[in-house]
Amino acid sequence: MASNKKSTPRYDLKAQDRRRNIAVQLGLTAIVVIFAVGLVLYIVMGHQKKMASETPQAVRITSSALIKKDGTDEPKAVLSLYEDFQCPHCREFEKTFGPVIAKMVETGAVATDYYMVAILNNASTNKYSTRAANAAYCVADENKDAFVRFHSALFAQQPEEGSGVAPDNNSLIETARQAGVVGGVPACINSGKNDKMVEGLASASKITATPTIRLNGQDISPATPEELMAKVKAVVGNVPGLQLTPTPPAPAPAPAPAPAP
Amino acid sequence: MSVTARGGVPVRTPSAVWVLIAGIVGLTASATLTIEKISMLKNPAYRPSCSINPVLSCGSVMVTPQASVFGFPNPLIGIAAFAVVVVTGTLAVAKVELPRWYWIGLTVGTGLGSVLVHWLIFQSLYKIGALCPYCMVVWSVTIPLFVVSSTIALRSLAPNPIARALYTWRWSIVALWFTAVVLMILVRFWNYWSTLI
Repeated sequence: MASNKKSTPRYDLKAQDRRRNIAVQLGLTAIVVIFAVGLVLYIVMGHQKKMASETPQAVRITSSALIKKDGTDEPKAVLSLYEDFQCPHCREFEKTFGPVIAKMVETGAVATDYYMVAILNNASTNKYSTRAANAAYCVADENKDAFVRFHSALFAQQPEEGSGVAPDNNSLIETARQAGVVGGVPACINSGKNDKMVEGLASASKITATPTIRLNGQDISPATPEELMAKVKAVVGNVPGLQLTPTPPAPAPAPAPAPAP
Repeated sequence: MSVTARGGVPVRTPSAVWVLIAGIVGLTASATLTIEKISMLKNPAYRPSCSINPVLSCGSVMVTPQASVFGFPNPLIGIAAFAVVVVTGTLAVAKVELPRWYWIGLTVGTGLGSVLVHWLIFQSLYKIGALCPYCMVVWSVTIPLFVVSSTIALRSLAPNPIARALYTWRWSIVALWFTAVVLMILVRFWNYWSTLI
């Protein structure tokens, strides 16, 4: 070490050597890093595309009073709800808007399409988002009325995000039984039949957050049930029997801000 | 030279500065985590400054049993250990030559630290399912700290060809190591990251 300091020519040679070695190291390392990153991104994105290719399925809830487009069987207004059973905002949404949505379905104002997306699997250790969403589709395959009850029950018993303890499949099967279905549901829940579809649903439907609410395909974000109802009425017109529950003390049917369609 | 004890190990300035900076960064991160932990204990509804989204969320990491492996919060170990590193770095920058056994001790310590960090990386990714930004700062200083400290302590192994090769390629190995961890994080949380794009 110390001998290098004075003998200039040897020092220079070594310095050049060292510089070349460093360049070789940097180059090789960079190549390996870029290759690894590229390979992993390629695999992950390919996987995602495959998942997204599963067509999103809706669980449509309607009543016999449904208002249809003239001369067709198509509903005049379709309310699409994209929800994750693990999402606290969805739970809040259901609490606030659930009754008015039920009322609108009952009076025939809208058909409601439920999409159960799984984007919050990281909030539990056992992929609760995916399993719960799959289970909801399983229940809907058997019975739509049971689906409505199952859907409410799952939001009512939503596990806390990141708490690590989320209901297992047996608990989902039990909730389904309480909602009124058994049949093929346990097998469907355990097989994870709709897992791929629910995991790809968000990207396939271009959903970036839950809950996402769409009225006839357009994103809407009503702040209150009144506002949501006003938006629906703007599409279907007035519907007999459709009004908010008479209980609210001051319903103040104030200038219902008729939103531009 | 004046303070050189017999058997002291000379440390090159870049390494010395590195040890000092890594110590300060690690100490800061550990102290912040401890303060956040105390705030959470005082007020269970407290939302830590590093809980940014469902994935980057130290709140959900800090309440897990893994965050108190030895029965008390992990960052307390960090405060004690990084304080030693800061002192070592300061002495090294001041050209105080410390004996080899001291550096071997530091290498053993940072080695144990690295083992703990890797266990925590695994737990964070695959058991807890969330990342804690301050913890990641600790991860990223502990590993290079172990590398620097071991190269200082084990310089006598220089004639050994394997040790030589490891020494020559040490930063490449560290870079690849970090790339692997980053890619594991990317893949593990891809569902979430892809919704941000």
